Amino acid sequence: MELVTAKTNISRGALGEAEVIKNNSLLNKWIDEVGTRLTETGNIIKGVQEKAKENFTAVGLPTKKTEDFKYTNIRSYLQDDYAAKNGSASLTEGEIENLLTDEFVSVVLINGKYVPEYSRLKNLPKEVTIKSLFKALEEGNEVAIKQFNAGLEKTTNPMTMLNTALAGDGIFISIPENFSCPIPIQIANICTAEAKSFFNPRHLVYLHKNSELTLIESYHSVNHNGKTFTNSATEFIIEDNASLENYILQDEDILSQRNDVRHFTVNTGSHMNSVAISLNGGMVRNDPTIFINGENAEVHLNGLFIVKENCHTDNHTMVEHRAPNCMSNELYKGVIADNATGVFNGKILVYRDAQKTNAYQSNKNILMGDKSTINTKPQLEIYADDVRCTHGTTTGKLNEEALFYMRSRGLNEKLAKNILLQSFAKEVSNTIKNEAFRTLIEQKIEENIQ
Amino acid sequence: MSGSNEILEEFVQGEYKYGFTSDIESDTLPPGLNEDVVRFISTKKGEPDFMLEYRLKAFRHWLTMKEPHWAHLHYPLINYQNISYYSAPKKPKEIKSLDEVDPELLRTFEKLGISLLEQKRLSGVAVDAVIDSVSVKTTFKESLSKLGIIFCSFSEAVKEHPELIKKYMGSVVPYTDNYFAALNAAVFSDGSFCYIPKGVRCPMELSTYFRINTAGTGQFERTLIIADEGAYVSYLEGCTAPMRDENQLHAAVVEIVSHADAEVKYSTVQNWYPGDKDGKGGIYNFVTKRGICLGNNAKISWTQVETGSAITWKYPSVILKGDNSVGEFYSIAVTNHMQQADTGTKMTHLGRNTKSTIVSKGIAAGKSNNSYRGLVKVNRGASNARNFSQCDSLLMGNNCGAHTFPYIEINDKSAQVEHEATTSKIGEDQIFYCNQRGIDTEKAIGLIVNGYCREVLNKLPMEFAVEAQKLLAVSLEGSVG
Repeated sequence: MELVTAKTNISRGALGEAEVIKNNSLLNKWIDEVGTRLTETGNIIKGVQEKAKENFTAVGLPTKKTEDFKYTNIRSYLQDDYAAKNGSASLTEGEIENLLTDEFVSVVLINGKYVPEYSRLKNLPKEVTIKSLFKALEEGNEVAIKQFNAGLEKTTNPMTMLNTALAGDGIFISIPENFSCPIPIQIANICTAEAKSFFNPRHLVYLHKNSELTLIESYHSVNHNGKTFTNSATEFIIEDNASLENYILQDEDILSQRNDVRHFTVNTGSHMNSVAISLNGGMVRNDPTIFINGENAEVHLNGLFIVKENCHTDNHTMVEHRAPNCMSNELYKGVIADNATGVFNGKILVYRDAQKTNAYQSNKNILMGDKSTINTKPQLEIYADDVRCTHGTTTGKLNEEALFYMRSRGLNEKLAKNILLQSFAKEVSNTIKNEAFRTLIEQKIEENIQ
Repeated sequence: MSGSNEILEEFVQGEYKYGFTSDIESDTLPPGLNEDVVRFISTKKGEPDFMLEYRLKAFRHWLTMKEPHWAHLHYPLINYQNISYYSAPKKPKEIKSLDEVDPELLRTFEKLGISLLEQKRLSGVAVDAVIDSVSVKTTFKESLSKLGIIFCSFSEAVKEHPELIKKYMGSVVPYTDNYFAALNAAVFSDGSFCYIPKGVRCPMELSTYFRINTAGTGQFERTLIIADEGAYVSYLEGCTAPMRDENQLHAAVVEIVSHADAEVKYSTVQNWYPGDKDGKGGIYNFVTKRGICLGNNAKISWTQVETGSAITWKYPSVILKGDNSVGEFYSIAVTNHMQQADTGTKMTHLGRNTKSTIVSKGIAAGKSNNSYRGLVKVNRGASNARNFSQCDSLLMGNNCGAHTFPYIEINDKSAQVEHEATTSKIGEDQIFYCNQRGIDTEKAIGLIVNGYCREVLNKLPMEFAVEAQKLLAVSLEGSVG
């Protein structure tokens, strides 16, 4: 028997012509709906968008057969009749007042669009740049132009391509060299829209060498009257010896569906800690990718997801060790109740040159409801030998003995369960270093596990 | 004979207008696959109609399928029309003495501690008629049939026990299951059949080794094992000695049915030709192995030691249907040079109080890639399901890769599932410790690897375990510079 070697697998997985035409017309419909807002920002962006359009047309929206979306069927959330829209300031200041606090510099984004009037910037140090990303590009901000799409250019994620092709305005934050931002910056993302709206906000966060930033992202929805889909993408660049603390609170209503792509580029000697707390939202997918490009970097990625009712939360993480002597640590914990579904799909990829890597990944889940589901897929793909990589995952119920112990001491069942769940959640919330935000999160967790 | 000649005539006149590459005596079909080939195989084997129908259904379904490419494997496209699907058992080239055998092969035998007699048998040297294994075979067969145990080739079973074949064949691995299972169902050559009646404990380890016709079963083997209520059997497949084989593509199917209170233990040692150091040649091994615990308290245990083949695509699985049933999977997969392995298991929990254990030890050396891929699925209603998985990988050298792709899908809140995996290399301090005590590095590696694999080796039947240990050392030879 002979195996044909000449033919390679060019056509494997490629779509048929009919499908490509369908993708093309769907994308064109969405492009028409958002209009061409980028003409004035120059040809660079236009080129980027054209390329993304081409890439998306070739792959289309992910299906259940797309390995990375195996457990989250995007097509059942984002349908063809969704209308792509640009963000707008359609709320009054009073409606969002209680979502902001004076302890942070608060930046208000409504459906991804930056609204300076509602933002609280009086405590913002003058060294820090915060502005609309498109404005920064128009003004010829060198950092913005150089970094826009640099990290996501080679993405294979169709949702990222879609975001780039339809990119709506978002925020641009830049921290100068040797500057440590003394006050946390909060980005309050508020979603308010008609049913079947589809948003694609795009953000860029840049930390120059030796700088430090605590960035809080909070997600809320106000005056929602139908299901909406937000497909956001944020690029983070952490230069040498810089440090980023990134905290995320997802607390939207059941009509909100979102896919958040975060791309972190981590350079030599830098440090990052990202903590995602997903408490509410109809469909939430967090998709952080971390490229460790320089030596001696340290990456922490933590997440807590509490899913209830018919909701669906997916944490899809990718840590790429591309340089030696780095460490990454990942901890995701899930509590799934009612008819909800939780997903954890984490991957650690260690390149051939990334010797002396230490990478850890842990996922722990508790199933509470008779009809709750957890799908977990922790993956290791390792090409370097002098490494220490582990992953572990457990799924189970609350410890019967611990419950019995508490009940025998007079605590009722509900309280005993609450105590156990809170301590389960605390392992993640404890990784939030900012005390004010941690207290807020702990309160929120308490409210949500009742 | 004249009957089959007529059929051959038909073929010559029909589709095969260029005739056969060789004359009728050698009975080899020219490369190519179509319905006529499937019919030819069935007729040639004298199968009843239901078998032919089954094969044809499978073949028609296969035509609608696409070759799967989700595994972490890279290989050139296989041209299925370039394979000959029927070749009667070839007589091995007569070799008169061991002097004519490849010295490399002999050295390996020596290291594995295989007896001279055995060496002759394995390398195809004509063996003295007195110790011909036919006699051995018959004695075994007699003592087994006294207990009501049926152990024969698949073709024999098709003719002699069609009711069992009809009932069980394809009940665990239907031909619609996957591409390679469909291909196997259409063109399978032969294999083993084993039936243990109610309440019988098979007194010996059943091994393909005793079945003399194994050598000719070729590339599309099919095995069916049925343990009726309360029965027990331990089944061994393969051999530690290197297998030379001309067929590059292997697509076997193994089905196990374990009824209530029955237990089946299936052990495999696979050491097929892995190709040379540059990855030339070598066997492509695409196997579908699955067992079902049909009744309550049933048990199926898979143990495998995989050291050979250029490509291994193999996921021995257990469907835990009966309440309190148990599934186990113990595996050692060693890859060296250019070998690629994507192997693991699937445990599907359907019944209540079901338990599964997965222990997988991967060792990658040279430029090889070794992946564990497994699924643990707990269906709604499978209350108190319990799973423990452990997947360790050992990397030797910086040109290889070790990967872990577990899938865990839990739909029942009372399930308790744990999975852990580690990837690391052999500690320099461990080697240093051995060196200090006068054990050279190569031996030290063997020692450490054996320790690393002990959990799985312990599950093998004793004689097998000893051979497997030596095999590990041989497979990793030269992997430390």
